[in-house]
Amino acid sequence: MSRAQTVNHHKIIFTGPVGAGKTTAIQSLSDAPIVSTDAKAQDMTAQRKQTTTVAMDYGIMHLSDNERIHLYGTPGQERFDFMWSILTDGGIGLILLLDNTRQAPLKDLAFFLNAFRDFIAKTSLVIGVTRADLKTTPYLDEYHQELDRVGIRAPVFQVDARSRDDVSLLVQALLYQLDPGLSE
Amino acid sequence: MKSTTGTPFKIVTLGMEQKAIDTLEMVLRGPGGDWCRLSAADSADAAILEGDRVGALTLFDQHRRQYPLRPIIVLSVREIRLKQAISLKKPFKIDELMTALRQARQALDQPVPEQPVSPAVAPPVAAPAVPEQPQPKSSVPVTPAPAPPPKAAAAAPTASPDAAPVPSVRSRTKAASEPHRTHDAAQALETELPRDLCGYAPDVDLNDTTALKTVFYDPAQHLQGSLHSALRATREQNAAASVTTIYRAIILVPSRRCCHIPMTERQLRALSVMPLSRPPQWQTLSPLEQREALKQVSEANPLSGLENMLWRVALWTARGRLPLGIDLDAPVRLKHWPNLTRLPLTPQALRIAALWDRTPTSLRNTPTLLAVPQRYVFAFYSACAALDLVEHSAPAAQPPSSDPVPQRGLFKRILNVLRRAA
Repeated sequence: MSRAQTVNHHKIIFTGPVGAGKTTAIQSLSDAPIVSTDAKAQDMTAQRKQTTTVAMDYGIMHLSDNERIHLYGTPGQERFDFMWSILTDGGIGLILLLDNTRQAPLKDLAFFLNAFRDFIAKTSLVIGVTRADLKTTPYLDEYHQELDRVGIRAPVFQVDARSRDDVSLLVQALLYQLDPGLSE
Repeated sequence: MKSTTGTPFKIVTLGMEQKAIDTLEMVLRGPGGDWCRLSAADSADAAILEGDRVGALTLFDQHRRQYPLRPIIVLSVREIRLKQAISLKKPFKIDELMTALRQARQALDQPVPEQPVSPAVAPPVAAPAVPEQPQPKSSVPVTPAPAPPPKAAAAAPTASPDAAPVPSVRSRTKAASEPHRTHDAAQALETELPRDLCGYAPDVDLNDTTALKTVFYDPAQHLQGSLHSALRATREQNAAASVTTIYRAIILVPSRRCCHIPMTERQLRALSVMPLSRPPQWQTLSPLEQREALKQVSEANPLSGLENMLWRVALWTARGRLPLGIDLDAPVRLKHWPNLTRLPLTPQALRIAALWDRTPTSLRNTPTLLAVPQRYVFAFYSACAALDLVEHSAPAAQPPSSDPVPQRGLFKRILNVLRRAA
């Protein structure tokens, strides 16, 4: 392939429990319709969603003709956690979406922080709390207390996964964490 | 003719071809009198939309959603009537364009250069004044015609020659955390949103003791001080508080992270800005008194988010300054990031937050390190301090590095794409 045809690929990973809004958030940012492998939900997932992502979501942002950002959404169910390390390999950073209406969002937070600990240590993490308008607790300072407990620092924002502005701000915060010197 | 106002009126173009943009720029700099400049979307005061391109109305709607109170001048061969838009029919003369720009500037209550008004420009189509009403979550808020702020309530201009009479706010009042996000949005739209939350004061020499005095303000002499005194006391008692104002009492309910503000956004801003000879009185409310006080909560005047209110009051009061007594040389550390998706964003907020989160840095050094105006840093600090998000730490073992991160180029390209499509 000639130099003129070389395409540079980078990726940002979205993760979180079932129904947190990963698919929707990627859709908000993607330049192309996302590829989503949804299957009819079974088990406990069915109570929260009709479909759930069995493998992963994929979206793309075109920075230029020869540079792309791949947006990967991990499958939300734990039995697919073997995929997570594959997906994160080489990623810029992690966006963790947590659904505030779930039974134990703080436990969800602890779980995903542990699952992605190595990747977070090497890169960067931003947390988006969805559906906080439907259920106001836990409050954001409780999420921060959990982060303090495990010694991880990360922005925590309330987001609407359908809002491009909100999801864009998550990505921006991710980048600025990696490089505060980045100018606007 | 040069602008007499000092501050260029910034314009973003929407849907225009590069050739047209280049021509427009030449006109603005030359025969237009050089009081307008082209700018990026985020920093613009007004927009000019090419109304004859495919998708023009979609572009208009998108921009209106993003910047609800920004005047938009629509260029078209047809007469187009859109809410809060100034229609300019093609072909038009330069002075007709300049008249439209003056109307846009007047709509923002900014002073305009004196020029004769051309009769050829269609008047702006202003939406009818909309009383405060909660809106369905999915609807686009209607933008009422902005009324000029009462003179007494206007923020006092700073000593800077380019100070605007009313600083602007781009308020992120979607406030999903708040139980009444639509009310917060309606509140923000009810008055004219100032453009800049940080005031207009130029940087000062922080080694000059005389100049240094202009950098600080005393929260205790403002509404802000009373709010914080009330909150400090009531949090310990797990109670609510009532803060008396010249309008009506503000009710604070810290246990529910909410408050009731029975006044307009403009009134609250006016109260925040004015130094007071006597700070507003406050009192703790018993549970019965709290219930009585909150009976005035209604659909038209619901509860608001406490954090959002404190943040805005701090920004209005500070206007790019620091609370009295802050050490400029003690490194600042963020306890944690503010909820920036639900708070009015000040310029460079993300960068400042990222720096203070990663490497505690003094208020003296932060503007230099990030190459940003002092007022941006100080405004952000004051707002974070109002939410108790900042602390002063010991100096870092190593000063923050200004060396570029290897992926900086990539990150810049990502940011450009994110902002371009916003």
